[in-house]
Amino acid sequence: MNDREVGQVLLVEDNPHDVEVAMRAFRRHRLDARVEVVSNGADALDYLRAAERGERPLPLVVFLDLRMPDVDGIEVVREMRATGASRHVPVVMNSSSRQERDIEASYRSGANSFVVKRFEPERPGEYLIDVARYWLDLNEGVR
Amino acid sequence: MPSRPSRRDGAWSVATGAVVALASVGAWYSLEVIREEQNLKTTSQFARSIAGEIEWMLRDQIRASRRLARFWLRFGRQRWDEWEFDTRLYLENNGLDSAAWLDPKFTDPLWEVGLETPMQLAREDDRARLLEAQETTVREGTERIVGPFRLQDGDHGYFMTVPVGNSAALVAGKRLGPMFTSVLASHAEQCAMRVQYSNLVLFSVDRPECRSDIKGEAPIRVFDDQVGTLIIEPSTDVVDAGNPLSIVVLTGGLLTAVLLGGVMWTRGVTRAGAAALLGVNRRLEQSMSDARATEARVRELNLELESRVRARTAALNDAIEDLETFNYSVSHDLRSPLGAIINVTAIIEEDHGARVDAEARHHLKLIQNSAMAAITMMDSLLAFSRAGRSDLEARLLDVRGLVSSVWDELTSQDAGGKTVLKVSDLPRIVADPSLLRLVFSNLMSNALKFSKTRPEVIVEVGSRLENGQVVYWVRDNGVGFRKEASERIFKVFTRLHSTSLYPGTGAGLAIVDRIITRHGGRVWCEGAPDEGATFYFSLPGGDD
Repeated sequence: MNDREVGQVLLVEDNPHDVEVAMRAFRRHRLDARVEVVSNGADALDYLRAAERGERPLPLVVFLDLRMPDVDGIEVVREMRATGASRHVPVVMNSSSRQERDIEASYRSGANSFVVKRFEPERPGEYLIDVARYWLDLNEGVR
Repeated sequence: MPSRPSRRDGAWSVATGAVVALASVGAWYSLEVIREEQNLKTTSQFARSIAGEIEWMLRDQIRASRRLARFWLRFGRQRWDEWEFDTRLYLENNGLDSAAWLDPKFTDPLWEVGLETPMQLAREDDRARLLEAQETTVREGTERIVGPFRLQDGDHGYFMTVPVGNSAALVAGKRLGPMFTSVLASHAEQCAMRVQYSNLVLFSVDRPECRSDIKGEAPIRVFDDQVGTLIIEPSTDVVDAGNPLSIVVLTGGLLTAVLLGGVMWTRGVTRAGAAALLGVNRRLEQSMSDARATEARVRELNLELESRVRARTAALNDAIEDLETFNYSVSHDLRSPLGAIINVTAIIEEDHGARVDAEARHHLKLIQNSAMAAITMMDSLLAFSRAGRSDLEARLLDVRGLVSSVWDELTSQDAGGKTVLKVSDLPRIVADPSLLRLVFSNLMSNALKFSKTRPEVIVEVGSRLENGQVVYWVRDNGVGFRKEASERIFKVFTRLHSTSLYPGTGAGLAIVDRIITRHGGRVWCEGAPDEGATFYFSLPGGDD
């Protein structure tokens, strides 16, 4: 756990365009955190289980795409909340739809926040920075 | 005219009386036969319509079972407690007898059962099919919903299962007995009835006053499989609600015979007169039997109509479900590629802005704006469809408070220009709080938008009572519209002004229309070019 001082952000996103936009925004703002990207739910769970075993630090926040093939966002957050140290890790659901049933299912499964993907040509991906700032700088999590 | 009847006249009157009497008996008999046939026909139609009702419910519940099984596949194993809680709600609201892991008695949910349990539940001739499904899922390592399978003969119903590896299976099922009770009980005042499966009586209602010589039968099928036969014996109210016509004809005819004989005896009426009377009698019988046939036909048509309405309702429900799925995927799957267009053009501008000439930049902007417009339109369309679909929550609302809070929200970011809100009497009303807020918000933001060129923007909100309804209005002093446009204006994506002058997608008024229609009210508008516009909507009720 030598890089405890540099927080981790885990971005779970299967759409490569969205990943690119997010990474550009993170790079531009030089957040005091390392962003790790996995492209599906199963990999996200593997990543978190490895972190629970102490093989890598637990992320300070997880940005989780809702709709992914096979293991979707809902399943990931349920699995996270069920056992282990990752049950306390804040999860921000990130979806392109704002359907009530998705929002409801997310919170019921244990998500901490729900953010609809925004497409703003003047500031592509910047909304993620706004959200990340809150979870990284202002929020106090379980250490 | 002779003062006493002659011997010849006497013979004639007896003969005429006898002929009329015979004709009456004949007419009575044939009417009885016709009535019997019609009663049989009506009864079996009635039976078919009840059986149709049962089949419709069954299909509905099989759909519910399938939804439940899908839900389990997705969430069931991760959160047992939540799954159990949701499942109970499902059971209560959908009339399923059981779900989740079940014991063979369909009473307690068991959370772990062996694969043999569904096998014990299934009827013998369905077991091969079940075994095959189980083996396939184990071999392929997949999980899917299989069924419906029929329950064993002693316990009529069906179940569906999700074979999971070697150890366990999910079962969602339904026993038919209680359902027969609920459907048939609603018709029990009219008929004696029972549901039979071969010789086994699954359900019966006995009504001693019901006729036993008329029986209607109809098969009850689920997925081409006959689960039983419905047999009904209707009471006379159902099949024979009219006058006992044949008795009237018989007594009328016999009476006519006696009277005719008597009259001829005393007055010596001629054969021609008797024949005329006979003719009248026949015509009378004919017209009564016509009326009877028409009545039976009307009853037949009514039954037919009922079953057709049921079929249409089922088809409509399916279509609505499809549409919801369609909306859902449109909102998600189309947003992503459009979003990528917006983001990628933004990236090109950012990374290569210096090297891209003005014309190319203009075209990039055009691509971006079009994608943005498409996303905005999709969002409006979804909002429009939501306005028609979400459940109404009726509450007594303080309309005055609602209007002023909407106004504050709309004018909070307004920098320049003078805007005035004039509110007159606004009674409270029972309506859905968030939907009525949306109505006022759409109308008032339109009022502001289309009067923004005025030196002083005046928005008036008021109401009046009209035919037991409350009519609210929102008026502005803006650019107005042509009278001819007032019909079109409520249609979705209809715009009367160019987007560059007055931005918007044209969904706002369509949403207002839909919300008010769902509340049992009506919307309309008045306006003239350059003379402002007034939008009205009526709502039933109002408390002061």
